[in-house]
Amino acid sequence: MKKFIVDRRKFLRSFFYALLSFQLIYVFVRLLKIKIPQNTQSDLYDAGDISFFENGKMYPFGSAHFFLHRFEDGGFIAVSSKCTHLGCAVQLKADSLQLECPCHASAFNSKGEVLSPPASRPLDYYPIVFKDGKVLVNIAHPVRRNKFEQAQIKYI
Amino acid sequence: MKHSIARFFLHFHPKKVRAEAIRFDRTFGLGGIAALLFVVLFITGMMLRFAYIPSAGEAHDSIVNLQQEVLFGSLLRNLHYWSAMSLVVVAFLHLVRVFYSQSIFEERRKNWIYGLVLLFLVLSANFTGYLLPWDQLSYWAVTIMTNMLTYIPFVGNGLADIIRGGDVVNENTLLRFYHFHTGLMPFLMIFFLSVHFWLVRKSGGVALPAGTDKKMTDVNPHLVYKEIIVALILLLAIFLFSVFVDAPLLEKAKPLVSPNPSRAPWYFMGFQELLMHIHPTFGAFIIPLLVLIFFISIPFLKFTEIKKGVWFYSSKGKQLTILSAVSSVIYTFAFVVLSDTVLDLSNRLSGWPSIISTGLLSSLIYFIPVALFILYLKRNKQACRMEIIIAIVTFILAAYITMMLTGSLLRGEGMQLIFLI
Ligand code: HEM
Ligand code: FES
Repeated sequence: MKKFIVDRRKFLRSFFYALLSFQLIYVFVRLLKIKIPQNTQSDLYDAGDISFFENGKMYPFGSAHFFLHRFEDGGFIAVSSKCTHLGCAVQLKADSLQLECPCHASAFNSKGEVLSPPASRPLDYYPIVFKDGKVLVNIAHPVRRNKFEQAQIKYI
Repeated sequence: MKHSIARFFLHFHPKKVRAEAIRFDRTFGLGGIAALLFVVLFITGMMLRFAYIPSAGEAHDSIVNLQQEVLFGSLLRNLHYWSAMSLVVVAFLHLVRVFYSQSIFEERRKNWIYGLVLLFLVLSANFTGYLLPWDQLSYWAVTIMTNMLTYIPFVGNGLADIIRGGDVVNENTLLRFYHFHTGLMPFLMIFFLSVHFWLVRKSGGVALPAGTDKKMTDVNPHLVYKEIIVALILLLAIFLFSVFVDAPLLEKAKPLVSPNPSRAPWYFMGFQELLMHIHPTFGAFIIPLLVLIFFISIPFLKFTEIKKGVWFYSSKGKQLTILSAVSSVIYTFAFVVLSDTVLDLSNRLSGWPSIISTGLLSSLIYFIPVALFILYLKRNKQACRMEIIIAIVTFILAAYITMMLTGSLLRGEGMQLIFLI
């Protein structure tokens, strides 16, 4: 078998090439990472007056990609409409609080928990703040979660 | 200097080649066909660029406009579309050819690696082009595919976001894909194709078995004549097909309404099908990674004897190829049906962590019998290492094709198997 010898010259040369390649890759990745400003509104989406939302109901905000659910006890949660299986847009099943994915039939409840697979993770949710009697949803920062927790519900 | 252009093209070949090397059944002309398809794609793609507008608002309209208002606009688009689809098939068949004709060892192993890079580029070029029409089919196919990447542990989410330029497919994605598709990909492909061709010549042309006739023959006219015949038949076939069959174009993409069912592009359907049975950490990461490493390493393994240019290595190799292909198709299809019906691990073991139930357990259920099958070939059929490698590759390829076809053709609404509803 041929001996594998690395002398100083070879080492320095490979080291230099590796450095150069990483540099190029890094620059390219940074280039791809730039955020092209979409439409420069604020991150907070104004969903409407708090008093408008009835307890125990679910409200779709299609273009902002979330569903706003107000629980019987008055708390709010904003769940993302992006299915955690492969990213299709879930839809509200008529006359119910159930979300269904048309692509491969995953289903979720109003808290975003999985009712039937293939999805294995609850839907993401968006942080909510209340201001001047309005519900503001932070649509720029979906929160990934592995299970539903009480703390994800927001109270006024 | 007369005929400079003709002379230039003749320089792709040496002046003389071995007569045995240019028999059609050595290569089936697949590499050449792929190169010609690339040229067709390049020319039609350049022309499409004049009609196409890369923005979410106008992309779809610009294609409708091309088809309805421009003379031969539909034909142009069809040529590009069908050539692109053919290129995926041809590139795959080319890989199959070089593998089974034992043309990937020693001086040719570098070119096996470059070939794998080219296959990756062909798939990426096709996939980035797939989004451009911005219709319901392309929008959701890219959504599905980029989300499959998110299942890669640790880096998956970041990778998908970088590819899309955001956490959903949107205008940024379209622009980005357009530049990949019409700029970076063609450039990289030309570069790697050049290296690929050069390496073919450097390793002495098409691999021939030891002891074949050493007689030399002139490239012009003997090889050139064959190439022109194949090229003309191919062009005619693509042209006729494009005249009569239109490339699909659904309604404009609606990011709020997913179609039922939604599928990845057909050549990635094998992965989508795999993900339906096996936990993503295995299905989208571990298994593809292992297969990739295995494919890359084949020509670097140690073999007692290498028989370059001998189809299937030996008659036993051929027998095992057929046996593995048939077993793989039947077994994989049975696994798919059983996993959907009887096993149904994700519901049955819903209390378990899914990485154990649909991950480890599913994988073991599939792979233990496969391992036993390989062991059987080794023990009872006395297969040597090369024959075992051939059997494993055959098994993998046949399994992928089976899953791809099942996912594409046998699943309907909600991705249910149509014969079970
Ligand atoms: C090299 C391999 C290539 C492959 C595999 C490929 C594949 C594809 C595919 C699958 C589409 C979607 C077609 C459709 O749905 O109509 C497409 C569209 C397009 N391609 Fe390519 N392409 C390749 C090369 C090129 C090149 C070299 C250019 C230009 C420099 C180009 C420019 C375009 C444009 C502008 C479109 C959008 C028009 C349309 O969708 O009909 N392509 N390509
Ligand atoms: S994307 Fe929702 S079930 Fe597959």
